[in-house]
Amino acid sequence: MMVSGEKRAVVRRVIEQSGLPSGPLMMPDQVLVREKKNFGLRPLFQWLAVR
Amino acid sequence: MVFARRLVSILFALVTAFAASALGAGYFFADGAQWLDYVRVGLLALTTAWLAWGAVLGISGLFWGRGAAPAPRGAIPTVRTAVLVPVYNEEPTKTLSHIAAMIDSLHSLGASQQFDFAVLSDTNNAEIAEQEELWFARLKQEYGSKCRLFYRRRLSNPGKKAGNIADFIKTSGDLYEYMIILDADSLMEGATMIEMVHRMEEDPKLGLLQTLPKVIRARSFFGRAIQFSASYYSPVYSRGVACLQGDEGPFWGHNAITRTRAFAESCGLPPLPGKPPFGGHILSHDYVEAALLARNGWTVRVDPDLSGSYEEGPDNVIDYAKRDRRWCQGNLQHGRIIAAPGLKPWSRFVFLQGIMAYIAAPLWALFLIAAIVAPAMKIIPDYFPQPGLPVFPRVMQENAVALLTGVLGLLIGPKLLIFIDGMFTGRNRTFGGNIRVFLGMVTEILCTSVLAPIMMLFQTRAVLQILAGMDGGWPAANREADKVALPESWAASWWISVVGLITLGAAWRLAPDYIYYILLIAVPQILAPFIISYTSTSSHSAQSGLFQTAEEASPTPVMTTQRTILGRWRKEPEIVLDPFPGQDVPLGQIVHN
Repeated sequence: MMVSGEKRAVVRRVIEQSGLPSGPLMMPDQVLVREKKNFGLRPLFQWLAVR
Repeated sequence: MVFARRLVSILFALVTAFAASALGAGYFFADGAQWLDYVRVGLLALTTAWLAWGAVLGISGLFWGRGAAPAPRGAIPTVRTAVLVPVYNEEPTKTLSHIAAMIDSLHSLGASQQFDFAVLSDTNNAEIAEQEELWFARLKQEYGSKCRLFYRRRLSNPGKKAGNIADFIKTSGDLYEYMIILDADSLMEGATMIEMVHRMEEDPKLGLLQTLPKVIRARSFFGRAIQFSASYYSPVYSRGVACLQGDEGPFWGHNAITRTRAFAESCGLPPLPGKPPFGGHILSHDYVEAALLARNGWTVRVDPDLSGSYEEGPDNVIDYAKRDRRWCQGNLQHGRIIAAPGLKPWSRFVFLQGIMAYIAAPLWALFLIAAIVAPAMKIIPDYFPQPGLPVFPRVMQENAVALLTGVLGLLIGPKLLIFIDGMFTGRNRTFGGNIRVFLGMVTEILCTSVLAPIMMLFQTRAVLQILAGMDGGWPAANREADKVALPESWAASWWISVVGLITLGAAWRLAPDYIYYILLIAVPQILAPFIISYTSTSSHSAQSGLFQTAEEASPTPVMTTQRTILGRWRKEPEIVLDPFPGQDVPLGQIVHN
């Protein structure tokens, strides 16, 4: 369907008036993946890596 | 009580798997046990357990939750509900005609002012976006006086559908007690939406209430077979799901209502570490959201007795397989979340079911390969273990027959029981009578039997692609697909024909004794391009009454209204828009669009 310039302006006005109403709600990110276990040898590997 | 039902159901699946393994072992080991025979027994156990699980849901549904549905309450809700319609490169005329019909339905009950409709667009095709805005303006002009209508388009779509919903909550969630989440093809009776709000109001711990959407408006042979299956069997199977759900019921992503606060505090989905297909944004977010709501102490429930909830389905095998590819990736991705801290054990089991739904196909494929290869690896038996007369190995033919009968029983048995139940309860009358339902059931079973080897290969390919790290992306749904022409069908499925030919050749060479069984699998695969093309044709079954559903025989008011509106809009696509449209009664400050 062809849209004339005038019609496009009307549509734009309708769309601008139809934006979502403001009422924000927090949506915190959830924990989905278990943290990897900190193996006892990790500090040793890190220490060796530095050297 | 729920625990006991779950335990009995799981035990049924395990015992069936054990029985199948025992029968299989008796048959496979008759000429001596080899390592491949143990593999076959293992594969048989897994696949049979999965089939038995499906059967137990159907059988449970025949005995549980059969009471008549309470009449919907007409009282107008006092709380405000947002009706969210996420769209992604959809045909706007059709989607918005669904919204118009739902508004009309609510308006006729005097409740349309309590429901605000929000079109949440993730459309990234400029041409479709322009049409979307134009048709939204028309919807607003024609229906804006009946209820509040909002439109928002994201220029990029992080988080895909889940991100789209989350964006709405972060912008406007505080204004709404409840959100009804729909798909672009969803349709609901106003009375159903009102009843859903009442059920949420009744139970303050209820975080999400799922309805069972019935498939409508299928046109092709394939689509109508799916529609019949969904309409006739699914209510029983979903009663089986409800029988085991406890507080950890399912969320299928749409045609459901959720408590906004519960959803907001529980369902923020961060991207998973790593790249797709296993990392990145969560593709099948609905199962995860249900599990997270349950983890936070909210009840998630499916109420199969809620009628007046509809959706549309794919009309051909190719679109079905495309959707399946996305679902397959989403379900396998759940393997990353199954061990998430604090989840209820049943939620973890639901994830496992989702994974098994797709892993089953490659397991069947492996079983088939093993069945073809095994005879070639047969050891020549020792006919003279002791001097004297020869001892011939006993072929346990009766085991094979029992196994085959059992597998067929698991596949077809619940359907037959549902049919018999329908004869006694009179349910078959709403589907055109016993004879019509019987013919529909037999044709549907034949149709799925022919399509099963083809779908097995589509799903096996999907699993292998995902395991190889290939991301399927987020293709837009093609809800208005026409007939699949043979060249298109050939392009999508030539490889299935090749696999079918190889299978047949291998069976001919290695397992000639089983050639007739293998033919049942290989022939549909070889003919896949023709089958896919043929089943996509507009069906004569509609005229003959085959696969008739209750909604087809007597469409509900919202279905009729939607069809009328869509017909009118398509007939008169050009309208004069009011150059100075009136302002809405503000609900709050409008966020810049």
